Amino acid sequence: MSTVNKYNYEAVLLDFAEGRLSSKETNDLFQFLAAHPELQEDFDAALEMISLDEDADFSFSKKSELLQDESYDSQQNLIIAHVEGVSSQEETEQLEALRNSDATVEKEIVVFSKLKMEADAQIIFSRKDELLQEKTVRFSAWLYRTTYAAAAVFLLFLMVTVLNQSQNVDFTEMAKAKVNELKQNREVPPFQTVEEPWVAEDVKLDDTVNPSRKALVKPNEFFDKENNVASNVAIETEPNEAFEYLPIRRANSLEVSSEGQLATISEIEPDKLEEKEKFNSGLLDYLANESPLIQNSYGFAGDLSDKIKSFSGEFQKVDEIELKIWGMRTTIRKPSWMKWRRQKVKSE
Amino acid sequence: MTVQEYNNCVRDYSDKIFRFILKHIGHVEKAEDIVQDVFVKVWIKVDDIAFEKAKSYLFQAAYNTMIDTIRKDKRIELQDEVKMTSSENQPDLGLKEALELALNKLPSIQKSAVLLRDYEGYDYKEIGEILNLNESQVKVYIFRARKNLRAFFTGKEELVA
Repeated sequence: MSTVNKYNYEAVLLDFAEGRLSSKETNDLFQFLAAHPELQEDFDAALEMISLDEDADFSFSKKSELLQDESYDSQQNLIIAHVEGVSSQEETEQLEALRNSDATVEKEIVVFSKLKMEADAQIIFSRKDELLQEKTVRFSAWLYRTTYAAAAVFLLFLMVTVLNQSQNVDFTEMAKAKVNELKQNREVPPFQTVEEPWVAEDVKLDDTVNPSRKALVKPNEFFDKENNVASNVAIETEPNEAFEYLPIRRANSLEVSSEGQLATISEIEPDKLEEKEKFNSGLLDYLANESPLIQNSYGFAGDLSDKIKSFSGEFQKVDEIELKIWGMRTTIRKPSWMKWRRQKVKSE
Repeated sequence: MTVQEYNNCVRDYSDKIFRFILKHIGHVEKAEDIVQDVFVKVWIKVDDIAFEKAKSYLFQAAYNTMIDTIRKDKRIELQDEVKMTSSENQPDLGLKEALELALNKLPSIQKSAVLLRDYEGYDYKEIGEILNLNESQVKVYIFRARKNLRAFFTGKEELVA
């Protein structure tokens, strides 16, 4: 300890009060106090602390009620370790000794052995079929805009190649610029929200506009009206076909095909935008890296909304959606509302 | 993982994961949704996941998805601290029902650890990987859970004798 002075004497007094000073330090302290009689009051207060601590008869009378039975806790630990099968050699021996000396230990071991949970085999996941994947299922939709962009880039490349054969031209930069231009200029019609509840039985054809169109839905075969479920709905598109909404509350295994125009499936859950973002972050990786869906496309530069819009076709527009691609097959899970929107293109 | 192995995971593990989630949140449809989300995540990364690690990966993803779901859905609550009392107020319970009741009174982390231990037979290290805990923490939670379960049966020893 350093020399006692005016700046540290209180700490030294406290050490003195708590009996932590050596004889030399104590001697130093008393010499300091003799030289500074004005500090005697502090010294007395420190002694008072000792006096209070030693003399006061303050004890918490209910201490025993709070104390836990260490032997019981220790015994339980030994039993649990035994039942868990993680006892050390020492713990095994301790438990064995307890068993021999206390008959209740054996009963406790039995009790703990019976407190293990058993899975209820009757509880099963009923939607396995929706998760199983087929090895090869082809999704035949063409991605209109990306294909268009790719074609434009290719044409641009040809033009530049022909016109600038002898020139040193950065085709990559030109291609990027053209793609960006196409993206910025593309028009996406505003999305319309249908407020009324959609039910499967509302699905119907609009034969008045384009009676030559192929059947969209075979109600008797595919719809379960009672459960409001549509499954395996076959949809084929034709240019200039006209119907506005095909609302389905829930659908499983929707196969979509079209030629020349994009068909897509959207699951709309406006209340779950966070989940949408979360999911789609994975979806985008999937689409960008692995999905055969876009194997003929030329990339999806841009943000999430760009990518989603890339699925828009001439007759369709997807906005504020959660797009779920389930491997090669699109599955809509409950609760969800699926909206198909095709802008009416009237034949003149 | 091949498509076939992925499908085997669906067949072998979806029930187990469903039970694990259902025991926590007690809501069938939400539990189904979580299972479905988990397998979607796995399918997206199917090429990156080794079949041997798939089960552990699935449970880990299920647990994390469940926690995310619970945080978003305020109607579902997990208990962090409980005072385990005996089951004396439920005189007509059988062992299985009483165990279920006791399980539902455990703090969620203890419940998770015990379910993974008892249902799936995972060791402490594996449970730690799934629940983002170290091995010692898992041991502590399981031991506490066992003691809590035991306390629940105080005065009901005839059920477990």
